[in-house]
Amino acid sequence: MSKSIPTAYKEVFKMMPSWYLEKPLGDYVAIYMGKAGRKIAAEGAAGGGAITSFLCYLLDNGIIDGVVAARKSKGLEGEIVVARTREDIIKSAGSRWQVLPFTLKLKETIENESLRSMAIVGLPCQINFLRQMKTFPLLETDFSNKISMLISLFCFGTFAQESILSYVREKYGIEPSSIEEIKISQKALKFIGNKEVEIKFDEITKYTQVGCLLCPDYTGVASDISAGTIEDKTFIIVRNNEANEMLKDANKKGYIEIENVNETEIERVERKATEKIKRASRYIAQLL
Amino acid sequence: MLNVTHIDLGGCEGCSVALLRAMLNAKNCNFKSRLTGEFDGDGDVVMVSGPICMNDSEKIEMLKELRKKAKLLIAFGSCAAVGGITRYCRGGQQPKPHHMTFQPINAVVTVDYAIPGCPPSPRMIQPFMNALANGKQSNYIQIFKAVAEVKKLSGFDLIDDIVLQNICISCGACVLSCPTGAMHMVSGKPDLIVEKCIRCGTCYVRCPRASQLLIRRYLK
Ligand code: SF4
Ligand code: SF4
Ligand code: SF4
Ligand code: SF4
Repeated sequence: MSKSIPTAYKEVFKMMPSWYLEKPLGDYVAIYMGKAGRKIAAEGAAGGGAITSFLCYLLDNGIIDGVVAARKSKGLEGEIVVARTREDIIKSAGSRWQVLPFTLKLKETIENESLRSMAIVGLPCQINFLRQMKTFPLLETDFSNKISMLISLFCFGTFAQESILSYVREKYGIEPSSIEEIKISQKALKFIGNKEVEIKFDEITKYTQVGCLLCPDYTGVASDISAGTIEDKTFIIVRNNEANEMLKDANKKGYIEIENVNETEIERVERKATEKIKRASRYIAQLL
Repeated sequence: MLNVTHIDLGGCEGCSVALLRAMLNAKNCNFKSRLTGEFDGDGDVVMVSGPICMNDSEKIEMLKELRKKAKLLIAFGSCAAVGGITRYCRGGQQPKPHHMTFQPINAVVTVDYAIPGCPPSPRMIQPFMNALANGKQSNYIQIFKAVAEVKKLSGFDLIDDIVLQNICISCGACVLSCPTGAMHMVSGKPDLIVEKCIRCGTCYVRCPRASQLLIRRYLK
């Protein structure tokens, strides 16, 4: 790995010294491929995947008392959802954890819901911020001691909302205000409004937020567990032993099924991570 | 065991109290402070709170002396780190001098780590000391090293450097981290209510883009 990623990489790591030089996936103790186990699949949460099931395990076993995550509310806008029961989690599973920045209302939500020990599912940038807060709580109101687990979803960038909405209006005649839902699959976004249109990611990547082009973190190196969907399975990176033990226990108890991953799969994700690092390095050089 | 010594140069005592609260129970630290009557200017780690008055030659000399002896000099709190509210607020209070004569301490000496916060929460102090003690430079302590190089940091800078440069990703971390509610979201991007900003700099170090740029710019 180290030979194929030359100076660009080093540049970025100078900028993020806390991250791990020559480790595009960050530090980890184990990597698995996972999917929902028998116990959860039987309850009809097949769409949810390994992370949903794992969250159910954490709740059922009293490790956490709530899950905070973002979900689409309308169109590309997001809202925070707090799931306090496994039914909540399974119910929201079908809607997929949304790729949208959401830290804004977090404090309020946590206070209102009087959570004591929660798992937060977020994007690498959010997980990075939350880890910083947890490490050095600068404010009296920082709720770091309430966060028990940070789960990061892989992210290659999120969309600049206004640009993409005006693009789909210009090109496809979809009125932004009519958009009921936007479905995200691995290769495309499907807009459902006054029309239904599926648009390939390749066509719209140019509407990625500029801030995301500076972001070097694909998997969320500050997380306890990072997860990304590959085909119908979940690629899981575990970053500490505690989390690893929990995953193994969840596996044993039938919540999830995990198997080891071969080198080729790991390299595939590493390539993607490296690509993001190089992109960030290019853009940041322009900026400075 | 870290030998930590603290002096306040003229802040509001918020920082001193935060330090006392944390340090009197701190593990692995031997803490002395002028406030507990034990200050002797010696210590591997010297924590300075409050801004330096540029008209006060005695204090300036003292600060320089401390720098010479200290292995690590830490600017603790927004006043010492980035100027904070003391430099900024206007009220015509007596006694003069004007507030602009108060500067962050890096106007006079080299600082190793600067911790913004008005005051920084006592809860962050033990983890910070642990990080110093085990010498691990990873994780977010690098941000404080970078802040030691800047002479101002506030919501104004965040708006200028991040929002107006269009590299804000609308994550809301700044809003979440502002102690006074000076940051709020307008059409999905942060905006500053200038009258409320106490120039503590917390929003800046908490912004994923801004902290990244800080480190990239100042830690080569
Ligand atoms: S690319 Fe980075 S900054 Fe943008 S949403 Fe993803 S993790 Fe956040
Ligand atoms: S940073 Fe805030 S709490 Fe600390 S001395 Fe200055 S005004 Fe007081
Ligand atoms: S906007 Fe808030 S957090 Fe930022 S410097 Fe001003 S008072 Fe501090
Ligand atoms: S923390 Fe930074 S990136 Fe996030 S909303 Fe505030 S300015 Fe934008």
